[in-house]
Amino acid sequence: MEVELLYWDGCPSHPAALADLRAALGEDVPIAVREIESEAQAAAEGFAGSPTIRVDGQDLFPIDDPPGLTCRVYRLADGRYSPTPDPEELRERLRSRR
Amino acid sequence: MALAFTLPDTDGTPTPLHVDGAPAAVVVFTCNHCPYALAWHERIQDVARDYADRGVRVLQINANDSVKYPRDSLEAMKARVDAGEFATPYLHDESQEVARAWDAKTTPDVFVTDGSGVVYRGAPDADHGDPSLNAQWLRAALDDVLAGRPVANPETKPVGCSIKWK
Repeated sequence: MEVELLYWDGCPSHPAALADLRAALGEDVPIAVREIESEAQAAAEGFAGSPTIRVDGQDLFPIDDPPGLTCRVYRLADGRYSPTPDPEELRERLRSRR
Repeated sequence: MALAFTLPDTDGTPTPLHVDGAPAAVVVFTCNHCPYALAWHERIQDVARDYADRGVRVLQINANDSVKYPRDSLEAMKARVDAGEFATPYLHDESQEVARAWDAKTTPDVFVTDGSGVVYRGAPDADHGDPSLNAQWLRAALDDVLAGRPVANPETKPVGCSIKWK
C-alpha cells in the first residue's frame, strides 16, 4: 500500500493530518509527504486542497472540488467541520484498502 | 481608535465599524470556504448573541478573492445569510482594503476594539476542534472591556486559512 500526504503550506492542517495518518498506520508503513507549491502543480496533480491523502494513487476522501491551493473541508462523525478527516473514519478507510 | 471603515453587507447596506454608544466592537475576518472559519463559526455567533444586549457589535468580514475562490463570492455569502447562519452582518471587503489596513492574516482573525483602539487580536480560543472552549479568549477580552479593565490577554496567534489576496 502506497500512502501519500499532499499538502499546501498555506493551510496549517498538514502536521495534524500527518500525525493522524501515522497513528492510524503505525510506524511500519511509509508515508510519502509531498508539498504542492503552485496552482499549476495543483492542477497537474488533481490536488483539491490541503491535506489530501492518497492510497495507491487514489484520494481516500474523493470530492468533486476543482484543483487549487486551498484548505480542504472535512466533516467529523458528528457533522462538525474540520480541516482534517475524522480520525476513526480515516482508520476505517485505510483498513478497507489494505 | 481602531481603523474606521464602512463596508456593505450582503444586501449592500453600508455598515460602519463605529456606532455611537457601543462599548466594544468585534471584527472577525472570515469566509465561506475555510474549515477553520467554519469550525469556529457557531462559537462566534454565540458570542454575538450573548453580548448583543450589552451593546457589543460583531462584524464579520469576507475579504477573500472570489475569482480564485468562488465559494467566497458575494452570492455565496448571501446564501449563507439567507440560510440564517449569521447572527450579525456579514460584510464584503471586495477591494481587500480593510483587511490590508487591519493586517488580517487568516480566517478567522479576531479583533476586539474599544474606544481606544484594538485591545485583542488573535484566535477565538485555543482549539478549533473543541466547541466546549466556547471562544473563551474572545469572551475574556470582551468581559475585560465591559468591566473597564485592561485586557489581560491582548494577543494570541490567529489560526486558520490564509487570507486569499488578489
